[in-house]
Amino acid sequence: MIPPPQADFDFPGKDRAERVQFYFRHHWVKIVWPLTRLIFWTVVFLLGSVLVENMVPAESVLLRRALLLILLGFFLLSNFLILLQTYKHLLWVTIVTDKKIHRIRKSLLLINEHQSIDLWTLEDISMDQRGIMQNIFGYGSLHMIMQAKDVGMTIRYTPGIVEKHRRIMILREKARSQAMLRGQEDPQNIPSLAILPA
Amino acid sequence: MQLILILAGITLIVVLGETVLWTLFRRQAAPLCFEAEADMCSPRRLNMRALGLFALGHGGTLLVISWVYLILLW
Repeated sequence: MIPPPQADFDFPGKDRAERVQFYFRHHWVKIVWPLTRLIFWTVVFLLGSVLVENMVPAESVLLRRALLLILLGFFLLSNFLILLQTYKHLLWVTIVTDKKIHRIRKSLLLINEHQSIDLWTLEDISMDQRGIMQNIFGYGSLHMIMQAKDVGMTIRYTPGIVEKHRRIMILREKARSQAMLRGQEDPQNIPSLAILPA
Repeated sequence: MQLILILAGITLIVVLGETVLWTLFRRQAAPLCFEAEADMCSPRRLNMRALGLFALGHGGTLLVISWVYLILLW
């Protein structure tokens, strides 16, 4: 039983005939490492300031102030980096429709990528959860291999991976049966119909 | 005088940094907002208003920390 699809919406690259089923971003765990780095730099900033205050002689005003400014610079930089990471996290999204899987990856300036694959062309959909963290927090990697070509798509940090995997499998079967129906009406519609299971 | 100049410089850096990042993000996120009007998407999507407030709060906090830090230790 497939849960009801989310309200349909438009996004770049969507075909009119497609209906959005669900979408997701990377698991929040991905932000933990940059956050740890931010905490580390904040501690360095605080400890460094205390050290500068206590270790640098009062006569060396210029050195003291320069060190304080450098520390503040690192603190500001680490804060901007975590902001950048958060924005990037929000801009990477995977959208599953009843026909395709779209993976949209953007960064603020450098990356603007849209990859989409037809559900019915997927030969193998597998998932893996490795390590304690992935099993506790329920995320993992989703691997999708396409028929005919030896190419595919891997989506790491997929949240709720077991459920997502199950839903994509069901949607693939539906997409396949629709493709078969279309193929019976007009075999030209499906170029690689011969490799579909009967 | 020197402190005032430093504070002004820091303020400029923080305000510019936050504004540039937010503007770039907003430009990139608008099509992903999945709504015609990108200003208010439902919470599970990109809530641009909440994110804008977050960016504002983040910039404000950085400014306050920098100012207090420099005024106390200068």
